[in-house]
Amino acid sequence: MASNAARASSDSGHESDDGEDLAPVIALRELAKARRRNRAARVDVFEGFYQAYLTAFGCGVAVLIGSDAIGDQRATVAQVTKVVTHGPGFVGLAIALIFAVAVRSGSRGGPLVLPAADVRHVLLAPVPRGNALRSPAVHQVRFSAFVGLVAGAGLGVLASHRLPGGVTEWIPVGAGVGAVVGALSAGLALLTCGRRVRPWMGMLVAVALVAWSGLDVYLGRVTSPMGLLGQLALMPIRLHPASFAVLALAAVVILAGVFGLGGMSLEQAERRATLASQIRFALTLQDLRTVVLLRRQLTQEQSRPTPWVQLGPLAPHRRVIWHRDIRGLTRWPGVRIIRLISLGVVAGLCVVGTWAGTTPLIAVGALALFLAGLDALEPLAQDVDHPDLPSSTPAVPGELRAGHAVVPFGVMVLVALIGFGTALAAAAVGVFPMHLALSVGPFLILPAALLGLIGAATSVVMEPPGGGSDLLPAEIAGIKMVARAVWAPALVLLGLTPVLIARSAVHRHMDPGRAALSGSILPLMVGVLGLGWLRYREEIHEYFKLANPPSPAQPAPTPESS
Amino acid sequence: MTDPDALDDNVVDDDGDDGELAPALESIGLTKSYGIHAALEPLDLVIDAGELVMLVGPNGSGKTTLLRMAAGLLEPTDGSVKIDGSPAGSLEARAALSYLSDNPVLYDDLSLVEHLHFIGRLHGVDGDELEERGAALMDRFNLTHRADDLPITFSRGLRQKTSIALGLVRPFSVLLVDEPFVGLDQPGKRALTALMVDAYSQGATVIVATHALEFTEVAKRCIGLRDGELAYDGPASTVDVERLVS
Repeated sequence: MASNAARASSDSGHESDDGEDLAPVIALRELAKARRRNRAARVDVFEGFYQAYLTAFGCGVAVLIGSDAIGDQRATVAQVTKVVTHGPGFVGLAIALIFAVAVRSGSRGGPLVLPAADVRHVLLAPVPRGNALRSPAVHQVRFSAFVGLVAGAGLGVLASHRLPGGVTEWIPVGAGVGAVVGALSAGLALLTCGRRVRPWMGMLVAVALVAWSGLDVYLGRVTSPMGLLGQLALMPIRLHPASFAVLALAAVVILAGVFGLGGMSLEQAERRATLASQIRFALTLQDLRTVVLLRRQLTQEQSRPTPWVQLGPLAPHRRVIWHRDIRGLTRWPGVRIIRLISLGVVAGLCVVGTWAGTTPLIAVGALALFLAGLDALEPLAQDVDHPDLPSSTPAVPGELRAGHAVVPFGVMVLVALIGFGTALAAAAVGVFPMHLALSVGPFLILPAALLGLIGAATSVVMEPPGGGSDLLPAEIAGIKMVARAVWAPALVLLGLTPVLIARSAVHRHMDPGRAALSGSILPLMVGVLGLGWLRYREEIHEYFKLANPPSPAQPAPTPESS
Repeated sequence: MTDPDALDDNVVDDDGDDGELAPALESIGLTKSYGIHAALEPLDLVIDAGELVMLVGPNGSGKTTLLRMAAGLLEPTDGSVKIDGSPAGSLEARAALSYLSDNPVLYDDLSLVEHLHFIGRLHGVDGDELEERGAALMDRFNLTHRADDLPITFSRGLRQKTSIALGLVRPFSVLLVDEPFVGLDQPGKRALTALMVDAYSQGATVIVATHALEFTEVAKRCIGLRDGELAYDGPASTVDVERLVS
């Protein structure tokens, strides 16, 4: 057979020294160039400048607020000693978690998201896939390195506020290590993807990486590459020259990932291409629920065909909604259960970090509880997704919504208990006194669980944003959109404020337990109000509509009046 | 006016050096499962070079799954599929095969003529040959006046025609077509049928998954699938297709 590849080769006359046909590779390069040129031609220069202005403005505001929010309590000598001993292990564990996510993503076809047309036209063309994928792979590594660099620099600022060493030391080190971690995580994901590591194997590798780092923490010694990166990250307080060796390993992994991507699965690539474009569209509409659903499809997170526990038939006159929700729980995939446990642990660690003086961590903890709430409220979200189902039942919508809050509240209490357990574990290893964990922690469980649930419910039940009918100026409309996005997580943050009140009480030599108890009253009241809103939402809207009737339309100007 | 003969030479000569022809498509124990659901049961199938085959079956019978595995877009759960003797998805198979999907996928930032230009070049066609072939295809599908437009401005039918033109602008010896008539107007359907018959008469293997019963008048062989299993394999002229697709 006179294959097309052979034909192309003979026709084009573009051959490398080793006889490789270069015509398709040149065509590929020119295709990318033409697309870039066309995109650039369609960009409105003023629109571009305006977007740059908005981004710079947003970043500036974030830096100002962030700088104010970061605590400036310098670590004591004892605390610095602990950081020197255990810091590399803990930083390594955090890095291992990032690598675990990367390996898991790679085993599911990530991290690249190619345009669907590239999958169909370029990857099905007789062009070596390694060549076709090299440029997107390099872009991915570069982007991940940049994200790591920015995050690392931010963490460097945080560290400089509390640990010995100035900003001039911490920021470059944080940015450098962040960039390496970002690039290496992309390289790991690309390597996993190119080698077509199966999802179960990817999960195994991810668990092994975390376990190895966990062992470093337990032993108080660095044996893993992640721990070596941890040592590099803490260079301003102690330099370990040997830890630079990890950079060579990082380079090898990144190069292997970029050059070994030819084996990527087209099935995964096409699925990701389709889903990622839908996720981007949903994000532009601030449609969080759609993002959650599409992300589950992207990670192939499906309900179990056989439940964990077989429940018997539903007895008459029982609470149908509660039973429906419990049945949903019994079909949760293992990965969702692990995610909720992890979110509980993250929330607990963030509260511990907040207690230790790093106040911004409270926002991270609130975000973890918010995400857990979104998972817990799956049955309510399904009712909102399919409004025909609840509206076809002879029940008051508010009662259905309130009914759906009960089982998820139980789930959120379990998540909060996991967070409490994490704090106790941290106290047990001496991070802070156990008596404080026991006196403050219990008063955080209910407010955190309740407001985690209410924050998520607000997001789930909230209608999509209007189509700009209120004709607000662009800046005001932008602020309104941001407020809309942060409203629900901010509610959750309120649930964690008792820890701040208790911390403040300790500084004023007052009983932190009593302070936490009194500090939990306001969040609990807001939570109960939130439940009431969930139950009587329509009635409340109706009340406000009647109280503020729309103003009558202005009559059209007549020739006489003008 | 474009050269009407420009499309006559896009079928790759399939003669092997040893004079023996590998089957155009050969599947051995080909299986695809999604969790516990089997989309395609173990399927053994041989389609020789130069056949015009109609693939029929009700929705969910496994037609698209089979074609997508042959194109290399889906990975078999078990078994294998070869195109012209090469594993599906390999460089050789990709060079031999053209796949027309029912779902047109196009770049939003390339015009129709740029699509034809670059995709032709990726498949080794260049210069005057590419220009003539592209112009002839646009002429056949009445797309010439939209040559410089972006597909984002096209209707579903125009996108489908563009996608078909892209599948035919390049050389191939095996043409896989999935539900080709969806979204096409009557002239488009006629043009596509004529092009598929042209390709067949030039020696290409054409495999068409369709619900269009009138295609039995054109097809030589019919393969019926039901619930992922082979339900019929024989001449298209004698088969009761309506029974197979219902």
